[in-house]
Amino acid sequence: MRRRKLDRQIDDELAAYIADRAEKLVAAGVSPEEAERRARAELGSVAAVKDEMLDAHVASSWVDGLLKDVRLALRRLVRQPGFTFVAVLTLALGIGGTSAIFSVVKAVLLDPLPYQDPGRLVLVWNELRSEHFAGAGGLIGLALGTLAVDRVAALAPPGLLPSGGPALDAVVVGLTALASGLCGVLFGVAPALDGSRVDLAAAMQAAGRGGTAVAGRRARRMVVTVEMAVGFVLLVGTGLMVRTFMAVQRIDPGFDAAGALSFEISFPAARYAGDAKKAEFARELERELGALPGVSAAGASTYMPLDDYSSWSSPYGPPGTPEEKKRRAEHRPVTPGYLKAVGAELVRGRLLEDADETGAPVVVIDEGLAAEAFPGLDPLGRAIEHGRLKDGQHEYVTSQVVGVVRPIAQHGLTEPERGQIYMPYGRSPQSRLAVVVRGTVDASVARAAVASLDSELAVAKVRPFAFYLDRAQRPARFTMVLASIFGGLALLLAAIGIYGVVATSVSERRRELGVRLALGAEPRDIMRLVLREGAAMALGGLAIGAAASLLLARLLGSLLFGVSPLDPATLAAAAIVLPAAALLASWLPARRAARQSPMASLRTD
Amino acid sequence: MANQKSDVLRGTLDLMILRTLELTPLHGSGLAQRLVQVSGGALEVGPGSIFPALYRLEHKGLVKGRWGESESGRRARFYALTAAGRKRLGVEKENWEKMVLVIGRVLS
Repeated sequence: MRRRKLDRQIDDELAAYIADRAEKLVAAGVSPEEAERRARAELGSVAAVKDEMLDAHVASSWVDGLLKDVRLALRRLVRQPGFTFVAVLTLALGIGGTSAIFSVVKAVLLDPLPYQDPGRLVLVWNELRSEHFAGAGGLIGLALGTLAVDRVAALAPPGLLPSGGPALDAVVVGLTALASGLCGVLFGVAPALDGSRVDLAAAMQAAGRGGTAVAGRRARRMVVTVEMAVGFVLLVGTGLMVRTFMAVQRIDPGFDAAGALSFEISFPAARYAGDAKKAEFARELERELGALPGVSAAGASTYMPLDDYSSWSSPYGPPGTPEEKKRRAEHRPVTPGYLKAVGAELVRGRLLEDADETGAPVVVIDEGLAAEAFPGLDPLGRAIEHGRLKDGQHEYVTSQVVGVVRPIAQHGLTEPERGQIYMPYGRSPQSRLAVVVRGTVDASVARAAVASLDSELAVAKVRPFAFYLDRAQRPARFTMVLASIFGGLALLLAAIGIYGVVATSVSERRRELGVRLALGAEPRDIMRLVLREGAAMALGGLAIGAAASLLLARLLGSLLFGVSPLDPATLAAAAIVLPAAALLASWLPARRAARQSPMASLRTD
Repeated sequence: MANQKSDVLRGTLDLMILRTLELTPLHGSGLAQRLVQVSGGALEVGPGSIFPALYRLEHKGLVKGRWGESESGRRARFYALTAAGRKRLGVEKENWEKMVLVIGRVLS
């Protein structure tokens, strides 16, 4: 109530003053419009004077002082919606991004067990290294964004997150608020201290003559230059992650993931005791599935390629090789149709056939094993001694190589793998089947086919065969998306920072620029002058960022695949994108400065 | 709370306003004019400084504003010195004279 009254009183008083003053000027021979304008100009910014008058009426105790500051801040924020929007946006991006990333990190690392798969922690740590790299930037208020936690979680590699998944909980929100608060205080106090050291005389001069506080400008520029540098580093990181993802995407897994259905069967030990029973079931199942309409091939092995299982290798060598000189290979029992069903690429010879289950022992090997076992020789027709399981017991058998296929990725896309020996399933049956059916086939139809052979057998993990390749590509995709978010936000915040500094400096230099215009400078010259300020910050940031990138590149090495940490194309792209964004951000205030009327800028104050 | 001693400029303006109002109550516009006149044109204090100063002084209870009618028949707020203001003016004047004396000695 009191405030409202005071507010109105000030309005009245100032209006009366302006009217009175204008009247006197008119009396002195000035035109009415000019008189009014001049009366206002003498007063200066009515809003600022009013602020001061209001402030003068608030008692100066500590609490009152604080309230006064808050009120003043609120008044200014309301009066400058553009600035408010940018400030709030920057904060929101920072807080939102920090919460989202912290939620994920907390879900992955900090929340207690159980993890779905503790073995994945190693992977997590590797990924975290990039998050540190980016996350540190986030915590100092740079690189993070308002992304929904679920969106990030949905991209995470399976097994990375506990079943509940990440969620914004009280701890996350609390810590984020604390971090934001600390940052706010930290970055708020610095300018405030700066403000309390203002030289009164200089400030008065500046207020009267439209001068500028040089020191403040330098500090702002430094912050933005650092922002640009961090932005550059993050952009390079993003670029490298995108290139890594593209490279991983391009890796030939050695099989055709699309257009096939897969499922798994475990034989109950009681009813499938001997090798013969398992082999017979596998043979019949392959025949049954292969005969379904729309199916071009069907077959089974013991595990899906790229499924998460431990590798089982055993020794092999040319016949008669002493045990200590044998190398190790993975032995994979496959039904005759399996290699065709997964879409393996035959390089030489032939694939396995039905007759191989019983006749002379033959195997198909992959190129990796061929190069290792028979370097420079034609592997076809050669004999190798290798292991098999006969009724659960390991024994050696000598087989003839009848075909060579391109290596099929079994354990990962980017790691080197052991050579593979594909032998007929009937010669080394195991207690499980990983079935792949190529063609358009419904899950229920596949289940019915299994049930027609053994209605009590459980069918598990019925899913598109593409699932396994997709899952193997996820870590790269996850890292790429996170890096893209950080990179994009860093770019955005750097641009906002440049915009803010250039716009502030334009308004501070309005009088100077106006004088230049009045003295005949072309708008083009003014634009160049303003753009140069933005460009200086961008180039400074670029130089620092490039140096930092070169130093930090090695840290990223473990996350990269198929691209050098110093990839010239990525560095070049970042070196183009960042200055372009900076130029765009400086463009708006520059244009405004160039378009102002010289008279208008001289009048204000 | 009193202004800090270092705040010379602000204090000086306050002192000049108090001194001017000692003679007769004035509204903001009149006060600005009077300061120009009295200083022989050497001093030009804009209304942008005068109004906040008046409100500051009013808040401290040194002056008191009252709506009245200006010489041109307009509504205007006239400011008059309060008893506290009069007392404060005495103190400030004395301080000022002491300071002028000291500075004069130092400079001569």
